Amino acid sequence: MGDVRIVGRMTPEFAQILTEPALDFVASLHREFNLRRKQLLERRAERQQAIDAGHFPDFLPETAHIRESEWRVAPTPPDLEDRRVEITGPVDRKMMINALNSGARVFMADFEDALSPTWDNVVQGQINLRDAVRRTISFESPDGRVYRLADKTATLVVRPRGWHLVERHVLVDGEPISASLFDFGLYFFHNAHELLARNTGPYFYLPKLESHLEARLWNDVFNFAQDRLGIPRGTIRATVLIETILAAFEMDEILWELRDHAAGLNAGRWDYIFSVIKKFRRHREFLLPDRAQVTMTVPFMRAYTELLVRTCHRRGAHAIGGMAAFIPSRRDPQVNEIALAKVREDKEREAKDGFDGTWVAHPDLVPVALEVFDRVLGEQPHQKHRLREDVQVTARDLLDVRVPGGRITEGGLRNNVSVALQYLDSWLRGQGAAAIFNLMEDTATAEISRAQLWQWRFHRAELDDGRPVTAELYVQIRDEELTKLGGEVAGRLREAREILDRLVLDDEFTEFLTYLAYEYID
Amino acid sequence: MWSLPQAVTDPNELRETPLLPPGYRVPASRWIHPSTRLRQLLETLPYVFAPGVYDPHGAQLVMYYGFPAVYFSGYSFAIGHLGTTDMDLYSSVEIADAARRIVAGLRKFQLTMAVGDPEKGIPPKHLHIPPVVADMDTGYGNLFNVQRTTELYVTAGVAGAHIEDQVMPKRCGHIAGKALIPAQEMVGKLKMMRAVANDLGNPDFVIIARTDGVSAVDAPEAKRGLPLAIERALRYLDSGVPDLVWCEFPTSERGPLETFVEEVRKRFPDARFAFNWSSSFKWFTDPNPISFRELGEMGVRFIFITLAAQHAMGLGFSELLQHLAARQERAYIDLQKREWAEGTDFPTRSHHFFSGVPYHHLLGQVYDAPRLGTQFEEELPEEAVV
Repeated sequence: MGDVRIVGRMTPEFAQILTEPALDFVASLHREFNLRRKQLLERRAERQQAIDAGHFPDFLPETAHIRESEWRVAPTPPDLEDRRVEITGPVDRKMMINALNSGARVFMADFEDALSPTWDNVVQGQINLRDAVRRTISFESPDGRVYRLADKTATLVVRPRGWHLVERHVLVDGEPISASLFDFGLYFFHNAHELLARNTGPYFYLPKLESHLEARLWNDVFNFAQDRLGIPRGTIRATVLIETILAAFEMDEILWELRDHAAGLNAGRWDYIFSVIKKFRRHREFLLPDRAQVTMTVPFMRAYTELLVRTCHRRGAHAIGGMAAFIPSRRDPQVNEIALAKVREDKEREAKDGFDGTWVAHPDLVPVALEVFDRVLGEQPHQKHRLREDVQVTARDLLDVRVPGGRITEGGLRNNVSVALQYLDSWLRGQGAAAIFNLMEDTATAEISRAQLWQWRFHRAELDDGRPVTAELYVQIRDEELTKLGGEVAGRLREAREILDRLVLDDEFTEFLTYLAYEYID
Repeated sequence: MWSLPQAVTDPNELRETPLLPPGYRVPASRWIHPSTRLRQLLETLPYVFAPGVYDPHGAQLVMYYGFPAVYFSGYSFAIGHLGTTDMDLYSSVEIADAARRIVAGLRKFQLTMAVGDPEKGIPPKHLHIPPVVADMDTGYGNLFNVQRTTELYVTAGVAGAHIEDQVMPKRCGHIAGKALIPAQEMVGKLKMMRAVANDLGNPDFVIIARTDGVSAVDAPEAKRGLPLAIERALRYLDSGVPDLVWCEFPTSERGPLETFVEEVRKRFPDARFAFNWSSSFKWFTDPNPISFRELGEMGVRFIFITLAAQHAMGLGFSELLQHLAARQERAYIDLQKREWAEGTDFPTRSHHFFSGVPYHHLLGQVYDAPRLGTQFEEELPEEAVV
């Protein structure tokens, strides 16, 4: 097997997943592809330097022929044909059963933004997936309620962690294994044959891609993995999240690279906003107003989502809408009503724009989204025939981040501080998806909050009352918000504060908050 | 032909073969398929340089001097075997047969050299067999001609081949008036090559996609010149087939080559290139001719001089002929003096040695055909032959 070491906890149950052949398989993926992964990460840094120096992205001249010529991705497998509502959530056992039973067509089991990647969460997630694939998954809550799968469940799709992350509990030749390859490899190794026997397949969501070269790496990983397990090439299907501004310029190319494995693109809207702030952080003209004002209807978000639909449909791929972050409350009818109305409005716009499906983060939102999409789709599984040839999006449109009437307010500043603190606290305690102020916060939304804080402080952005955002102002508000949350002694807020301070006050922008926070968890 | 008696771990290790008398050995690389060997060389050397030849004799000289690969040039073949130019005037079967003879000649030469000449005290020389990269022009026709030609090449033991995007009949990359087939058609040809090689059990067959886009005067696209060549290269790489791309340039200028490599690498950071260090360029007038080492550093992994052997033969033989005309027999005596001068290493000075008389004598004995060996009833007047 070579030098593969597990430095995380082992239990008899974990050993069923972390078997020698399975580890051998993920280690072979790592050995084959890790160098390229690292080179691609270096490339991200180089592109960042270019952007810092004022070279803004554009559609790539070297791939013009891919954008201009006619081709289509592989045909969609039957159980991914109708994706009108997809539910997302972490690989937590109870939540998985609820999500699979929710009535949504697809469930995306998430190792990424909705999961705090503690070793236990990650390995337990693989155990849960194994049981879900074999339909033996069940859960008994402390109050004695038993959760089981219904007869008809959602199609399972798995989101491994992004290329930037490692899983430090497994060392291959002394080096932490790529988290993407670990998550993908274990799920694929244990379940690919079983999934095929059950007339479905190994389906994935690929997060945080920044270029078609990163898509190519995934495609090569898929080919290698399929060859190794003796499964025909093209069996895997992947939907790519377009959630970085750079990927928005390469949507055609990403589909092209994955064409034998591509199932669609998803408008990963929250990370997209984060990416815009992050990539153009050095340029004052990219200052964004309060997070709540950066809605899906502002021009640059419209441009990106409409381009996504057009691109997908031209290539025969599904276009899936983003997650509405609002969550209903079973206790507060007024909150509930507002949340449902906002979700409905959001989904109506998506369905009208041509999306073939959308995301919800809570089972109670499935009926709302279904109703909207049922109305538009009717008996048809999707609306790929709507080619949206009316959409004309230029590089300028994608980069024009002006928000009409946009303002930065003290309230927005406070909200960002409080959300970031609460989310970090939750993440450190092993919960990667947290309801905060009636919104479902995951890593992506928390990233927006902390990135805005850095951006505003770095550029000394002016609040609408004329005060500049300074380090002092941040510290003052951070202390006040911390007190409201119960002070540093509550939960893991002291460490959350430490992390947030570094994220906001360091002159160098930290690429991912998980880089820092991963040091704090087991 | 290349079935392994046992797994080859070290290609330099010396092993016995039934085709040599007991005690004589050859490098184990003999049992590595030429395509696999070429891939290994492309992976490990800073660049693979291959002089261009047109016949087995030239290829054997390339092998004798230890070059990693042999380039079998179509133009040279046209000149050397047909006495004509490079405009699709020979057929796939003719050139594939020549390629087969070159590959076979190299395998034979390894045995010849592994014997040396025991009688004359010339020690064995252990040479690796250089993989042969052959010119496939346009495939000598359309898609199905490509299918047939590839099959002929692969079964001939050719390690890899290049195919270009010109219309048929093609012309040398440095003759004006080239026209291109549609990119899609070329991609189909590339895919066909890969399919045939895979079908024949040689997935390692190295495929080089050549574009003549830079100096083509006619192509379906609107673009012309370097942008067209770059676009073509990207399209070909997008098919996933080519192991290397080669852009045929009209001059030895570095700028276009650098731009080409840079642009292709934006999209294919790991792309590998082939470069024709062409005899058509007047390198001696270039104040700063690009070196093989520089090319290697740029990502060019395969470098070749198409007409190396043809020009050397033309020059060398012309000189001899001029001298013969002027000085008759004295000129040939001078040639022989040069061949036999002390301290020189011209393996061809003895055509018997070079072509393997000692090898055949020894093997004749081993295989019980003494008449083919040296054991005659009467002594053979050894000193009478060289």
